[in-house]
Amino acid sequence: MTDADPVAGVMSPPSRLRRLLSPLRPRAWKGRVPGPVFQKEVWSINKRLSTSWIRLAYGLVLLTIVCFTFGILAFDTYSPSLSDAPNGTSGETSGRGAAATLQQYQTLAPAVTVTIAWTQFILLSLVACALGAPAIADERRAGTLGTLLSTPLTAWQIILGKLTSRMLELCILMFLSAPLLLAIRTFGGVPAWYIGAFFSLTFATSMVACQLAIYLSIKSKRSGAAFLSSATLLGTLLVGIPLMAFVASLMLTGAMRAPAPPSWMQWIFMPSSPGVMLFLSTELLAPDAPFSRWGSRTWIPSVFSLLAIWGMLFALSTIRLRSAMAAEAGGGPVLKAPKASKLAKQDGPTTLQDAAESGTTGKAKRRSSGVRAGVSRLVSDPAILWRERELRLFKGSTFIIRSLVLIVSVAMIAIYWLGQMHPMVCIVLSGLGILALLINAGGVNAASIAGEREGRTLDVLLATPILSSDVIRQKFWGGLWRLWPIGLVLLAHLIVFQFARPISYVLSSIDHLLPNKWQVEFDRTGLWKGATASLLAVPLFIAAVLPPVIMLCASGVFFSTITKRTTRASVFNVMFGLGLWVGLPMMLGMFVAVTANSRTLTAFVTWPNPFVLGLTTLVTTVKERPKTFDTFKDTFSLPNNSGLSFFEFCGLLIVVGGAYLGVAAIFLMLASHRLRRDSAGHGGS
Amino acid sequence: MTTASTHIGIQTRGLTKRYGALTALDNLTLEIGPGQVFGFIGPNGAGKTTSMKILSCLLKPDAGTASICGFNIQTHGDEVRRRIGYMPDFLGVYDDLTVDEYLQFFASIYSIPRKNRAGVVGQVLELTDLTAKRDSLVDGLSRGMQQRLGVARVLVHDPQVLFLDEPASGLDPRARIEMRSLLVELGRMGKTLMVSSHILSELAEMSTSIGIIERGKLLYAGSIEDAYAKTKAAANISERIAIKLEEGSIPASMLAAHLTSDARIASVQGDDTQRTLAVDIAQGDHGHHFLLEAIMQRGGRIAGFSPEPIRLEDAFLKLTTGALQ
Repeated sequence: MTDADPVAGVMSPPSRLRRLLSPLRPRAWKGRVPGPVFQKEVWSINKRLSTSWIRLAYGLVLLTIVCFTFGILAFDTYSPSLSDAPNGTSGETSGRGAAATLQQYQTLAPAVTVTIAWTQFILLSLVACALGAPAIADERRAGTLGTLLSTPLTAWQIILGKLTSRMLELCILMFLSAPLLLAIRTFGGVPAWYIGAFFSLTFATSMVACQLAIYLSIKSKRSGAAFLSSATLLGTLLVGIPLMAFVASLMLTGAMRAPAPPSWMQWIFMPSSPGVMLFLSTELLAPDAPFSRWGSRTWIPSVFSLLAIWGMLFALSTIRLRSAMAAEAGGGPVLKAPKASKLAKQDGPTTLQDAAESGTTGKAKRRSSGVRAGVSRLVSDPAILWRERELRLFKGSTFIIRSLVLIVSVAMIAIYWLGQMHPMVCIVLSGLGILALLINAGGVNAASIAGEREGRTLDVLLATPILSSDVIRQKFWGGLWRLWPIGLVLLAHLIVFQFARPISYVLSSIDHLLPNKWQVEFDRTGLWKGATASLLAVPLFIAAVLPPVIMLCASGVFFSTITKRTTRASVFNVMFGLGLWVGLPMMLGMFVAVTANSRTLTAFVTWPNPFVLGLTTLVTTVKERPKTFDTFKDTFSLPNNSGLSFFEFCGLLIVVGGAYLGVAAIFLMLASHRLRRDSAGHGGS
Repeated sequence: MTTASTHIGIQTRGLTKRYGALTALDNLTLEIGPGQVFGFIGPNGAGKTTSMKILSCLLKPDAGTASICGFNIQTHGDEVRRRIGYMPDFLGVYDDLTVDEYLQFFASIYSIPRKNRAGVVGQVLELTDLTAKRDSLVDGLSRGMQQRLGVARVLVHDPQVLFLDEPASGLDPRARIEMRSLLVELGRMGKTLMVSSHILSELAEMSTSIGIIERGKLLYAGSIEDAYAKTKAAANISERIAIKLEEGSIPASMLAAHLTSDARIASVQGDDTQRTLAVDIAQGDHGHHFLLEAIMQRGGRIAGFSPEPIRLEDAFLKLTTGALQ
């Protein structure tokens, strides 16, 4: 049987079904999987100097954890205060023999396993995003995408080649920790299936992360943007959505007021690998804790659900690449025709054909269709700052309005349904807001100089009389400015919670309009009076969160001067933030688990943490009917069980904020110096 | 206060740049006066872009000095940057700006007063024939349009010296002619231009002087006429004659084979399909008669006979193959 068209005498194109099923045909796999794309990618990934650096850095991180662990062991073994000798003889092992040391290993093994597993999980998820993000975006930038798409390779073969080559690199990184974990398993007695579970979850999550980054890379112009979007989407997919589903199910079933959530809720966390990892860690460290058995029940279904998500993303990527192929074949991006009503208001051409004929290409219409057709803005001084500000983080004001409406709606529903629980909702939402703000701060400025380098516009800029320090300063402020929508949403939700009680009062008065089963009964007496948060909550929160954001923006500019690609700058900066605010506390947690004598160290590491400072502010200031001046008498409880008075806490915020701003200034100076060196370093710029 | 003279456009003394073991630029010494259009010729990787980058304060030389309009590039970089316009070989553009915004952006960077900006941008757009594209996104322009925009950008601040790296690449024939006349006009306006290109015939038409560089070494710098003279001298040629043969004449290749043995002829090339002969007559007072006689004696029937000028390609080939070293 042939596909020949009897009328025209030419081959008719295969049906859509046939094209969709083509990956299932054995002939399609022969010689194509892993195929030339895989070989080329493996070759180029291994050739890059950055690959060696990533492997080295990853190995060093693991080595640091091991050294740290042994340091703790040595400290614990020789420390007189912790010695179990009856008279506390100093400088001796006090009769601790091999058995005692082995026992010590066994105490420490679960903590080390959990630390390594989490380090590996977070780092590899980010590395997967970083590896996947340039997959197609860089081909487009280098002008090689058209060549690749004109070969006989199909879309799924290209995607699979790109993915498998990156997964190979991730496997190499993952198995760097294998000897270490096996040693822990042998000497520490950690059951093997825990290690298997951690490995499987990390592998499946990395696969999803990499596929997500490749998917976003197909239509991204810059790999840095694809990286940032994929990291944010991954967080939303794996943490945000399950968490929201969990809270919603608690609200809808009334389980919030029950002593413990029902066991069926464990399945809500099935696609959330961080949630399952958390349950597994709890099970390993504290077997008697509530929900401790949820991890062992859900990790296998979780891996399968992640693989299902990956499959879906793979199919979507293939379809997307196919549409990109069609667009390439058509000579340009596939555009939606603008609405006739919009076009009628414009003076320009009324159809795309007219636009093409008049020389205004589809690309040229892209921004115009979003904002105003064919109108140039007035460039204000200083020009670089102007341009950076115009590069909006979220295109169009509609996104900001939608986000505001969404967050306010969620807050109001929470206020109404949860009644007395609203301070906790406020704190959880704020925590997620801080995370979103920091992730975006980590990426927003990472493209500043590296983006100019990628776009090959840096030389032109450096050949002008503008000073390097001016370029850096304007890039920094512009990037910081672009974060305002997230800050606005965060503050808007805090302000809504300020008025939680009156809102609850208004909402409860219309409660009878709802069906009986949806009605909530709670005491309305005095509900309309008073705020839900102290008036000082907002300024204190800003003082706690803004300086770290500024520092991260400054470090982003610095990293963008030392790297050639925006992806690398973003990864370095996000890793820097993660190491400082997640890695260090995790290491400390391990240290505290053994020594239980590190109040000063805890304070040193955790107090400057924006999450700690921001959430401590809210825990203290967001509560039932506070009186504004009560805040002055409140005690701010910090992680090392220290209670600080209001003025002491303000002093801490000033010191910590000042330190962050100082570090930011140093980063900016280093960035200026670096850029000056790049611009030949001569001529006084 | 500076004491720089504005009469010298570009002056270099022993400029050298090394990348590890590779010497990208070796002892470059040249002088280009105002109003000169200096064509910089050389094979790929010869050191043209490196030279331009050093002179645009983008690379630091390992040795030697250079000055632009009398300002030393190493000590007065800011002054130099104000007086130059650099257009790289690959023009990166900000994809989020329109043509007007792009030019305004650079006008702002060059501290052109706000009230003058619209006028300046309008002028350069008109000069580069981009007025119709004023509100188009830069990213949506064709390659040729982007090249024109690059030229428009370097003209925004009315610089004294222009460094244009392959300005005609990607342009269609019409745009090339326009670009060529634009550059000639800029030269007439008294600006100093350093233009690199691979299209030698174009450089020959627009340049007042040329520099030939190979493997980082400047092989020749001077006027085009001088280059031709040197080429002739090096190849022992007094003049080149182009001969067109009639149909049915003896094949051109056979004639060429016969003529090669004549000591008065430096070289000869025959093309059977075109029925043409290109004869380089050796130096000396030989005249043309001997050539006509030799061709007719061997059965050649001449349809056309004309002296032909030496092309820049020939000079380039002679100079870069070491003939003059």
